[in-house]
Amino acid sequence: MLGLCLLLLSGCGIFNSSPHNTLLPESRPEPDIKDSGIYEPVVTVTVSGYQAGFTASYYVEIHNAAYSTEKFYSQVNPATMTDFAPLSKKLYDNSISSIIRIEDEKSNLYPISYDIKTKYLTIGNFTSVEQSTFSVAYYYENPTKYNLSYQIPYDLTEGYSAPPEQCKDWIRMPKNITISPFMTVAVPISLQIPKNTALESNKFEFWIIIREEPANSTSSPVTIERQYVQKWLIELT
Amino acid sequence: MKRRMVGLLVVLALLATLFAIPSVASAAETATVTISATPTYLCVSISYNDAHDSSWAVGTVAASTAWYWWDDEGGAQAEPGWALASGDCAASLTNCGSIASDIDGNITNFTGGVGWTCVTGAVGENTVQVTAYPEGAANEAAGVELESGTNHEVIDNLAASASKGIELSLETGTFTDGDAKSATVTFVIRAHT
Repeated sequence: MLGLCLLLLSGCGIFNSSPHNTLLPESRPEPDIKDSGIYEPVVTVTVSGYQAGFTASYYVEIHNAAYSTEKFYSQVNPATMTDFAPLSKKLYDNSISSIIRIEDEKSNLYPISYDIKTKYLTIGNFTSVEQSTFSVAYYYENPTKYNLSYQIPYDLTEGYSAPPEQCKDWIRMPKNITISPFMTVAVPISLQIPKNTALESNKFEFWIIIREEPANSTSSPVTIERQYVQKWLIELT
Repeated sequence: MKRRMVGLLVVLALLATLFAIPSVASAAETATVTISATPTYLCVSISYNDAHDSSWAVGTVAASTAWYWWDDEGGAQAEPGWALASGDCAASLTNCGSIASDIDGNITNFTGGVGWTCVTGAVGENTVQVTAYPEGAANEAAGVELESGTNHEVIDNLAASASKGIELSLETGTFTDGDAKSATVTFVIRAHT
């Protein structure tokens, strides 16, 4: 009898203690290894019976390509026509094979050696001792920190409204995560809407911002950073 | 026999109650959540031209001067030709993802001593204007003025694998100190809306 009752109850959903399911993508494209980014930048959440309260759990999957470009002013040794670049981060694998390119306006520069202790990269084939600038693009060893934050969209997807004011309090996610080079990490994000929440719109959108901390710790007047947006489209009935 | 009948009726009544509860409870006490996401990749690669990198060493600047150009860093600060060619851009933004995307820009206000506020209109005391120009910008006015706390779209609907040059300029206002300043420009990539 008890078994019959449990069967009847579970069939009717009363024991549905985990009222959500996750539809994982079957396949995903492989990114170019040198470019960081996020998978699944648009997440669609559809909820029926939302007034009972629910938790929708998903994630943002971040790939760290650990790729940097740094600029240097040359001071060429006239005896060897070489110079060195003090890289701000450790070269990946401590190997000059992690140098992607060295670029300047005149020479066809190439890496000669790398000092693990000083992080100095020796570069050859300078054609002039006159000071010039050159850049070094390389894969680095250090992990990268990504900061996550909630944002109200400023460009809404058609059919979706701005999120309710309390939406930011419904989001659970870590504030940041540190990811090793060439690793992809799924960072959990959940949306918890309490029971009997009154909403002006049943279709709304919010964004999760993923800010990549820059590879170079420079004190230059203007530095360049990247951010990625994961859009969450919510439809409640 | 009568007792058995009563017992059977009690059991049937209990079962009827159990059947009745779920039809009410399923609406009030449960929610069904479905989550879906398309297997796409969102990515922006910033490559730097002519030995530039992810910093712009503007150098010493004069008050009330338009313009300082990123691509002419350390040079004569000559205005580029219009429409803006890729060769006059200090960097390129590449959509290295798998979907068409929009790229926005913002800048923090400059800090160091008396800070400078980045404005989107006319400059004044301790204010500056930093403008982003996508490759192909028809003239100086076609640039996108950047500000703190608000993103402005710099490149619309950039196809997967496509690239576009990007250039920055700085217009100074007047200063009340001579301390070094610094700011951060951020490029934000999102799936095209």
